[in-house]
Amino acid sequence: MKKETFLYVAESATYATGDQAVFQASNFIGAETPSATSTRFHFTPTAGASVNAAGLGATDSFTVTHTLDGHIEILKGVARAMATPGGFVVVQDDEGTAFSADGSSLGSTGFSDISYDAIASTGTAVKVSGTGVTVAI
Amino acid sequence: MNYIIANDQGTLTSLGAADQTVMFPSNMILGMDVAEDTGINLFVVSPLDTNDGDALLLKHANTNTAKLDHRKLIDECVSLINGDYNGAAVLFDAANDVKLPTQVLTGSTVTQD
Repeated sequence: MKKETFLYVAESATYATGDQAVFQASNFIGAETPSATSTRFHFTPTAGASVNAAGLGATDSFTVTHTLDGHIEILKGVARAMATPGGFVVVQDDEGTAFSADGSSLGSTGFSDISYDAIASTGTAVKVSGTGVTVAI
Repeated sequence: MNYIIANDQGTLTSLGAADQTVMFPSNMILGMDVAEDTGINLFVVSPLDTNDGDALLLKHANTNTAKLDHRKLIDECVSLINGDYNGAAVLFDAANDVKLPTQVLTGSTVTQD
């Protein structure tokens, strides 16, 4: 059986209800750029809803807030993660604590498994901003 | 799965609004058609409304009656979509002058639902 790749996002420092989610890469529908500093990734809705509140075909999504104009580098980074066969990828964990295999805290902040390329035309480093990621399910 | 990126903005600082930059997996492609004498449309499922589609217009320069560049551009598009790479491929990116061989970036657009 083909193994799936799962993308983990956690948007808050308190892990409040609804702020953590895992998305299956094979459920990816598409990504778009809502603002100069954000890129949104859409997936098949987990609740099975066919339409959203606006009456449009529904998705679940997470939005990464990032360096100004870094959209294409963010897209490429997440695409590389989704193309990795089988596994669990932390896209962004705003709680910021990484854990070792025995469950002890490694103490880093703003944890992510993805490293993003610099913007091709300017060389500006691309990173996820302080507000990190938001989840909409 | 292959992931395809398209951006129709020629200026980096203008990125980040509707109808500009998208990425989609190859299995969300709905099809292609000949949009006009010098362009083809690639349709994909819209992430903003999964009951509708986004359209990527790929322009070419050929204006001869045989419309040979329609087919060349379709072949190049399919070749990129089915390419052997790990992650994302850029279909066209006006900010970095990336395009298919037969494509012209002027007039090539991303139109989201």
